[in-house]
Amino acid sequence: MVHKAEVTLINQVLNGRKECYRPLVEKYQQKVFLLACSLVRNAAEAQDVAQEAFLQAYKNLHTLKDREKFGPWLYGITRNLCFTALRQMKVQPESIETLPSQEISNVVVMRPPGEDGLDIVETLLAKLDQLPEKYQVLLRLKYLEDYSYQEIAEMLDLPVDLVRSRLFEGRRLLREGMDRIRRVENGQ
Amino acid sequence: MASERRYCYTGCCTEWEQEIHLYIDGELSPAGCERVRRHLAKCEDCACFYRVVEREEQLLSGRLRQKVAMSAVPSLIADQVMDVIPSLQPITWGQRITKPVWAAASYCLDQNRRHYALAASMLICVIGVLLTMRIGNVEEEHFVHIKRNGTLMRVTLFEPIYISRPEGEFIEFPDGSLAYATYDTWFSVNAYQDEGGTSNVGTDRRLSLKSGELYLDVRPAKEGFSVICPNSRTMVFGTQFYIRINSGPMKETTVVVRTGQVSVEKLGKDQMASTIVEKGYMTKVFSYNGTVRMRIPYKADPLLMKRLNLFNEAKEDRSAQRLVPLLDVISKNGVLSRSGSAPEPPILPDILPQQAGEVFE
Repeated sequence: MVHKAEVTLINQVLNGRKECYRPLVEKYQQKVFLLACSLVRNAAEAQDVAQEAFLQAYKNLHTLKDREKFGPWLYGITRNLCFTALRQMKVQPESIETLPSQEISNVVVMRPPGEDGLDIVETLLAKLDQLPEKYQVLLRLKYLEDYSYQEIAEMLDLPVDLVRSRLFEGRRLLREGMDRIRRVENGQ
Repeated sequence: MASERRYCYTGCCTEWEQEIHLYIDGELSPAGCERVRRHLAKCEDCACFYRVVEREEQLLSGRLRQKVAMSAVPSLIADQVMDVIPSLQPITWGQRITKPVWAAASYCLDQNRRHYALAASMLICVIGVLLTMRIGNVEEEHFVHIKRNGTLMRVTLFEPIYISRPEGEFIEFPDGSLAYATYDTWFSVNAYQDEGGTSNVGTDRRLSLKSGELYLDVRPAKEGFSVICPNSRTMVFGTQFYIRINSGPMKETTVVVRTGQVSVEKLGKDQMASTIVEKGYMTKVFSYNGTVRMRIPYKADPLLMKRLNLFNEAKEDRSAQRLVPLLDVISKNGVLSRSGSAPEPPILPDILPQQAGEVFE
């Protein structure tokens, strides 16, 4: 639910009160940064994108028709800036749906036995990088800040059901083959 | 056999796999959680799956956050953005009127209709300037100086203040009264005596809490200190108390008193009522069947009292980090989650609306 205070602040900014923009930035900076991180996968680039997203939103605030939709509108600006950044990095995306998928490698880095949890985590991290982007983006948002499905849906402009099914499918793909490898390790 | 079962991604019951993930993610209703818990108690394969996956998800999350170096970056963004903002010009109401007018005026000038263009443009631009200045209804702005986590700043009365730091913020008022506001809290200062400020509305001390939580340590003074929520007003002269208003559509105010006493008044279209809440007691103001109700004060929840005691210990050094465990306690008990998707606070089971005398009309 959008807070009336947000709408008040937007009106104040449009009346020339620039300092009223700060609480809005403070409220959304974490989510915008993490959304950018999940898409561009580079913290420095994500910080630049986040800053630019807020500046663009400030300059174009008068075009926002429904002031209660500031958050989703801001996330849309952020996503577009991310795609522009990715194009400049020569990744060539057009949307989350058409981000290039990568083949899931069946080669899993084998490490010497150690603390099981950490070994597995490094393996899972490596596999996460290889997942198709449409799963990777959602999983990153979930792991980075444990956002709810509703919040992820809002940030990525996707239906909640799709978020739910993609997170489930992404996790299955993440662990696919792992059990088989472990059973081989255990001599089965 | 133990080593076979240790890693069992494909060992759990297929129909429960997604339910278990939803359970780990906190996306199930209380009934759904109970259903999963009962199954996990009966099915060793699924219980193994749950243990392994939950642990890995936590480790993966921690590792990913480490890689992104989460802690510092987001909070810098606001400073960076606000450094650039002064050099930018958002389009104001006045400009929205004058810009197209100038475009029309330029056309007229090109067409040698200079005198019409000039007269019309001047008239409309004056109107635009007047609208921007809001002459006839000029609001004289009032300020107060407060400290936010030790940094002195000037805030406009009635202007919303948002707490974006995950660890919350300590707010110090001009008279030395102190508040600790948790993450995602919205409030405003509506009135305060401030010798350094330009003016003040009235002589009392007033905050307006839109949503979130405030822990308050109010300095005794002859001026009352009140916190106004959508459905209640709480007033003290000098004491320590806690107040929370949820952000959902069904507003519920909770007031807990650590020392002294507070007066809580319910606000609504129906009959006004107020009560005094003493040290160690609490009350709630909530909506019930379309009216605003208030509970007779009852013994404070031990968890809430523990939070207030922690606030009292942390207030001397203004250490928001010492209060971070409060957030963990809050999250685990499902009262407020940090993601903001808050389940409503539970009504204490020993207080029932139908018991005689329990609820004010």
